[in-house]
Amino acid sequence: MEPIRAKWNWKTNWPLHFMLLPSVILLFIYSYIPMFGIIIAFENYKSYSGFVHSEWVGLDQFRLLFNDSRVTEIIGNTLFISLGKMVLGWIVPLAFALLLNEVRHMAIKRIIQSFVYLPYFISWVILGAILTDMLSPSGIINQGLKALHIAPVFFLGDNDWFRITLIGSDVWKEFGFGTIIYLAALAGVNPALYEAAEIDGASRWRQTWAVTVPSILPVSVIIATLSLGNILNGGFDQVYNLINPLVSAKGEIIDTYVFDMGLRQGAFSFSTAVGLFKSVVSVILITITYRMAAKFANYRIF
Amino acid sequence: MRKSFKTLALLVVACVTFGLMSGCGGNGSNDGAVANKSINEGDEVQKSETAKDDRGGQTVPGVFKKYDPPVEISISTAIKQEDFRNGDTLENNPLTRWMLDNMGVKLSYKWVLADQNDAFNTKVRLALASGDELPDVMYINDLVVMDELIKSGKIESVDEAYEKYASERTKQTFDKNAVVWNQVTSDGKRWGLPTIADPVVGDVVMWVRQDWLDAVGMKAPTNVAELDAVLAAFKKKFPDKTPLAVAGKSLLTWWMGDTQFMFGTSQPMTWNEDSSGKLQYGSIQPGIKGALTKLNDFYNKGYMGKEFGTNDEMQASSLFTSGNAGIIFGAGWMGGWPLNETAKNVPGAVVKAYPLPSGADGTVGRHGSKLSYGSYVFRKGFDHFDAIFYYWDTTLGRALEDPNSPFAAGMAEGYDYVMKDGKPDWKDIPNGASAAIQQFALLDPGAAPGMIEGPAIYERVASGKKDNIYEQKLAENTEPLVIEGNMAAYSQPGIDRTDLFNGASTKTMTDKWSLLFKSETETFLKIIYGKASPGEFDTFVEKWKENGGEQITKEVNDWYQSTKRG
Amino acid sequence: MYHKTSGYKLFYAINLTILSIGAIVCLLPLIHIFAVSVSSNAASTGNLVKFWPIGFNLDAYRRTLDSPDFAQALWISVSRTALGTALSMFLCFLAAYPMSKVNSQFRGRTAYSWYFIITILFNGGLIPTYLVVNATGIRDTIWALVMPGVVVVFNVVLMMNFFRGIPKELEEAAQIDGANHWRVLFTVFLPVSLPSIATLSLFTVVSHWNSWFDGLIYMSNDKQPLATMIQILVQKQDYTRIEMNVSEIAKISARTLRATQIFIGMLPVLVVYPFLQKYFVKGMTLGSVKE
Repeated sequence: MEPIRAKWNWKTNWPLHFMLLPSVILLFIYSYIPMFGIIIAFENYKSYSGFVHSEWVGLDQFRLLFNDSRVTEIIGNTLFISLGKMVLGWIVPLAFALLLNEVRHMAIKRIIQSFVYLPYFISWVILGAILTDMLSPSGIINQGLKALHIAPVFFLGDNDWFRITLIGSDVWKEFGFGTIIYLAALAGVNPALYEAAEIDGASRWRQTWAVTVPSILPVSVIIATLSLGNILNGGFDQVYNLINPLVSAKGEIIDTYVFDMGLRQGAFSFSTAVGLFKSVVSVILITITYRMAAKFANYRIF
Repeated sequence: MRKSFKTLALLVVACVTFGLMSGCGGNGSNDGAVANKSINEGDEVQKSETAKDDRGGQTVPGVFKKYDPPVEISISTAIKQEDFRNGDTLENNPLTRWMLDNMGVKLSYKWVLADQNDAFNTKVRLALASGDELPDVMYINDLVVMDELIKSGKIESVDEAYEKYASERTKQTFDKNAVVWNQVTSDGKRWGLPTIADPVVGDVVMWVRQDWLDAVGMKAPTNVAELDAVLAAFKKKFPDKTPLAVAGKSLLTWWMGDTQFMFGTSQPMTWNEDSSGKLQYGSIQPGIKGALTKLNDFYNKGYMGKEFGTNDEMQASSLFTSGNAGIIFGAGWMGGWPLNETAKNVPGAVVKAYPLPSGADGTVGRHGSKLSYGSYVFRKGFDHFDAIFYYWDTTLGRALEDPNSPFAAGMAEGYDYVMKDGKPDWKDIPNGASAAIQQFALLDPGAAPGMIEGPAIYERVASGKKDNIYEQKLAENTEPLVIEGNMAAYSQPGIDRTDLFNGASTKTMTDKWSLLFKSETETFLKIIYGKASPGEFDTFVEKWKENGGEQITKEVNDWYQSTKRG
Repeated sequence: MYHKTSGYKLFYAINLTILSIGAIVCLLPLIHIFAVSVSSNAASTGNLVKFWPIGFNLDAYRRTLDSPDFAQALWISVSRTALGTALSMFLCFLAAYPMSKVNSQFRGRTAYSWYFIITILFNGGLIPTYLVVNATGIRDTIWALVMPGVVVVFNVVLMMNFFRGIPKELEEAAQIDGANHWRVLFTVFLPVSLPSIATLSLFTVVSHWNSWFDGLIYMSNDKQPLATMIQILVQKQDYTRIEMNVSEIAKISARTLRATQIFIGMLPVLVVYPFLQKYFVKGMTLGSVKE
């Protein structure tokens, strides 16, 4: 087959560039051109002065963020919350997909799958109210704990529990949707591979390790890598709807902080500066991951 | 970066207040005669619509002539809910028809947004950034956006037009409430027309489950010790309920389920004049400490429920409406919603409004209602100010209880009133009374405090008066509980501590306020929860001053001085 | 056969139990919302409704479905979702093919991938994007809801990954038969990619259906999608900046109406799911294609 490989050149390859062309152009227009707007991170942007005439303030916006006594605390909170969500949000859908894969009753499988996907569609404002109710010291969860003789927990008003509650409820909301991608990957596994393993006398456990896991590994690596882009996000909608003064010391994240700052001013510059900071951190993390995958596993993530 | 985040806090349109909130006034001079003139026949209303030309100088500035051919004025509106009836549309409804027929003005809607607040502010900023033309008239309720608009040079100063076209009674209303000008004043010029708010609309009263009170055989508390006793009795009688519903999630002095009575005359979260006439921030005043200590005591005694700190306003009021709380503090309008639902959920429940008890230091006080909720601004180059002031004056007539006002019975027949046998009727409206159409009005000047002599309309109606059309309307279209709530507010005049800072954020505020405010709410809640000793309050005050509070106080006072013209 | 071992049977029973509990816990909030939507206003204002309606009535549904605005918004949502998904999937399908080649086969691949990835990581923000949408003349048209986000890089990366899993032999066999890239893409890759196309289409449908901010800033009132309309109902309401009018506030705060619109707003996207589900549950396996 070597001759065919050798034939890859511009003559045969131009369609590859051509296929990318529409996406490249559209991204240029709607993503790259607006990126010039990042310049306002270094300005004190006012809508009436525009990008060109707003006052140039250099790194002042960044100083405003980092001179703040609470910024380390806030970044720490954000990292804790988003790492927790990333790790669990990666494992739980994966595990759930594997477990669901074992279900052989098609109808049951479908029903379970349709149900777990539902919370994804309910906004945090609504879920926030429901959770506040359920998790309150007199709520249904604590009544359950009481029946089991466990001391009640003030999930949303206790500094130690608040972040755990955030992570747990976020994973619960998102895992069903996250499972879909793995189910799609599992659907692509060649049954012949299982048959072969079966003939070799491999147990189900071994089959899972030898066939199922490798087949969904690439996609899960991609998802984990891309989720690094969210490392400093933490989930604004959720936190904003659940936070209260009792837990703001441990629960406040960068985005809620920026939001509060923005309420006092048309803080386009400040939020752009913070966004830029977050982007840079994400780029660094993703690049490292990409390089490591390429170097150690000779695998191009994307 | 994700600006979509920023649109969370909703602000619905500024409201338009007819019927319910329309004409009220405290104590003043002037148009008493007008108010007391009774008009019973609806046809008089009709007549005034057609006989617009012979309205005296009082109502019409005289200089306004109907445009022929009609001119167009574009406005922006933020709608909460559309409710067009009888085939009406956005461009063709009773409001637009009235303007076209009587003024020769065709209303067009340049921006129709689904809400106000950040969506509207974003729209303004995007228009400024992209150079889009602004609507002729905009209602602005965000002081930062107001500041940006003023600096953009894209809006017109109203000074000249005001002198030229404002009617006598319009001017009197503003003169009596001159402080509202502060929010639109910059460099000695006025850049917009502020609305003036009904002075009791947000005033907090005490709502009590009268049947609980009767069950424990007690009277409504008038001071904090009596309140303590009542709550203790509630706690004992109804052990699994929450005696006092409090929303601690955002602020302790917000709009439903607050605790502002406890602070008496030292109201937190407001800027008030001290004895030397300087503005001071309420939350750092010494009186706060005692109030927090007392709230901590209430919490320890189990009056407020362990979870009050995570409850928002809706959850706090749900506690009450579901029959699980005995007392909630909130504005008089809460009688119309949501407290009127209580009796539907709990058979036998009786809800009553009472004046505020005195607070921890023995004084009585509350957050004053806002003086103004926003202002109208006008695009640079806009030149139909005569029409604006004509409409302003005409609609102001409602607040002044002008019997000749074409809007005496309501703004739109079929929406907030119907005509029956030649008389207006507010009860029997097909599909129910609806105020939704008011959102599409050119403008609404609000109320006219201080313009009507004698008792306010709520007081008159509460005492059974139904003489003029405004009193009849209020009596017919308002829930008795709202009237009762507002009466409780009126029964305690002079206790309002109104926030006197209504300018855009000062420089240090922009940078530091969110942190200062956060430390404030955290400290307060911690003290109430007993997670910090009351002594922590002193530390907070010190830190507050150090971390920018002192500088902010100075800047706020500089602003305060600058608003004083001449 | 592993199914028959008693250990596996035990596992199966436990597994089924865990999954079922998980599924029920996920269903509850929706039941709650539905229960509120058909309850009386008083009961829902009092937060009394949990999972069973109190004072059952369908008024809120009647009001919602009678509203012409609702129908209009629904239509905008459906059109943007259909148009946006079709276009987006087409671009994604096209772009993923070259990206799935190895670097030696397709020079410049790495540059392209970073070109794509950077757009996820950096973004110019609201104002510049608005200015571009304005300048390209699509504001206030359905394209404003479609074009700015039409290239979904995340989907391209996932699709690329699916393509990589397609056995090389299929492609090479086609090439021996003289097929060029276009033929390979449409006759070899397309049929075997249906599960992934279904999955990514679902993602795209969902994100189009739920996105509301673009509708708010780019579209005039009569052209706003359902998500924008519902967002307003759902948002936290800050009444401190509004002068209160009881009759209005009672209306916009009517929880039953809110719950109804949220529920109806979710339905279409929930209904789409079972249709696409068959592609990734049953599995349209690649193995069925002869190598």
